Amino acid sequence: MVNPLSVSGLKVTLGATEVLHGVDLTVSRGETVALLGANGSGKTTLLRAALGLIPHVAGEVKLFDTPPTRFHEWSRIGYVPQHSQLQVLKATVIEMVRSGRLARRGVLRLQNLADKAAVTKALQVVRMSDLANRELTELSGGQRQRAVIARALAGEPELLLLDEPLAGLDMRSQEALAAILAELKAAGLTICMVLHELGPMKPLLDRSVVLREGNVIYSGQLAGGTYA
Amino acid sequence: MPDILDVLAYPFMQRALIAAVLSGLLAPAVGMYVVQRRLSLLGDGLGHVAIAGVGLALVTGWTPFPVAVAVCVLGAVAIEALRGTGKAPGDTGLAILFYGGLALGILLAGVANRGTAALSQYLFGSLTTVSGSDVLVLAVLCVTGVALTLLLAPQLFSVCADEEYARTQGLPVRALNMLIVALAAITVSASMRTVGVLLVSALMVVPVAAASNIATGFRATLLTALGIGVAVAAFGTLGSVALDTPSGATIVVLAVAVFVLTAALGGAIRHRHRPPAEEPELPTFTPHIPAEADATHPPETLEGMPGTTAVLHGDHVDYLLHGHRHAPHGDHWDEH
Repeated sequence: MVNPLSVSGLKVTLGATEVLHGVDLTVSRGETVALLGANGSGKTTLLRAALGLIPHVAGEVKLFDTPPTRFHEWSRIGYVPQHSQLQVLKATVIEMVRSGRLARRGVLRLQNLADKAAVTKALQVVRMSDLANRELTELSGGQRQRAVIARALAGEPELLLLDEPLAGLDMRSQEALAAILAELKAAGLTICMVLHELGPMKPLLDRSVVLREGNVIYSGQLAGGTYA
Repeated sequence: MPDILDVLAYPFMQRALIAAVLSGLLAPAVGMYVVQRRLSLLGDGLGHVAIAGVGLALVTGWTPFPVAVAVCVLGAVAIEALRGTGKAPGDTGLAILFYGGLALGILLAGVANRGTAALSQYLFGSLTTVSGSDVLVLAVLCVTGVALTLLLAPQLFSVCADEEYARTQGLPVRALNMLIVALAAITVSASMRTVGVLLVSALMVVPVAAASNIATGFRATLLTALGIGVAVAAFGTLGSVALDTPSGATIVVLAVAVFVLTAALGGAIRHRHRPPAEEPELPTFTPHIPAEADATHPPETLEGMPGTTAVLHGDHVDYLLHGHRHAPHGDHWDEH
């Protein structure tokens, strides 16, 4: 079976500095994997290079067995960026979530029933149905993070990639988010997330990959732990 | 005060009104995205480049309006192409381009012996001298521009919201960015004859700002802005006839008045329907496991031993055995 994400020997330079020194990472179908490491260890760079958002100088990235530059089935991937800006004037939650449907909708096609149903479902999954018509600027940090996850889910992806979804959230919001991701995992979604600490995500994880200074130093089960 | 309906019987006045309404529709449609991308001042600068096109037309004897549109769009596409390759012309570079364009336009107008008087109708707008062919060009640009902004609204929205996310949706982000800048250039140059290049940014920005005072949601704001744009363009034109004032300035002053009115109105609405207080955000909770400091277990036994558990500790992984943390360090194990 095709792996949703596979990275081998990946080297990435930012400016003159090599940030990743030949990293291997495979995320199998149905797996929930955390990318861990201190600030500057390269975990976010790894995720962004895997999506083709930044180029790599050596190695290979494959999304569903296709390099990002030749990849076209973007609806199979749901990306939740870190500190998403969402600074669109007056945009509401549902307008933002609808924009997560564009990989499926294509150009010059109005929303059909399937699009509307997927948006409604995504809002339900993150428990934001009541806030659908709220403006994004009125939301708390936890609500905004849930809205960004709903945007990623609206495309009905097979692989969900999250960049530090817990950052800046209080414990209650973190636990709510972990509960949502646990449901998605149970529904068969493949999840790969960059984390600064395991926190309430711990019970979800099948595997943790720890990076240190641009190298993978551990891959396997983690019992928990701290990041000072 | 001349009777408005009598004045409307004149063909030049009908052309003026049509041209004003077309500008009033196009400017906020494009302005919605110009505001998102914080390009309001770029729009202003592109107007200066359009003046170079007018100067070129005066010297060569071509029709000024289409030449100005072409020069302005070329300038905008060049700037965006440079930005796309990461060689962004800095603040100084843009200033040189814009003021160079304006100076070149004035210089060429002088060479053509037309002086600055010929330019002033482009700087400040001159609705009553709009010709039939001007209206035709404006109509084509306006219909194209408004159609593109409405048909591609979902894609343009996504790019404005989050460029990187848009890329993971397979959207052609660079082409869409280019489109926004090209549309801004078309709007600026197309509105030369109606409000003038010095005031056109106001027609792009002010109706959008006014609409955002009272509307909720992106789409509602866009539609409200279009309505405000058309209304201030039409009533501003009629008002300028009634009051015998310059049309461009009258339209923009009216738009600013609408903005002030909607700001007061929006404040009152928000005061009545105050959203419930946000959930309080507690400081992030970081669980901390105190490190043990006992070295009774020989670390060598850890290697490959069942019963050890990997634990994240700082920037490395510890292996937990009998309640003690062991960290690999060179050829031996440290107790943590």
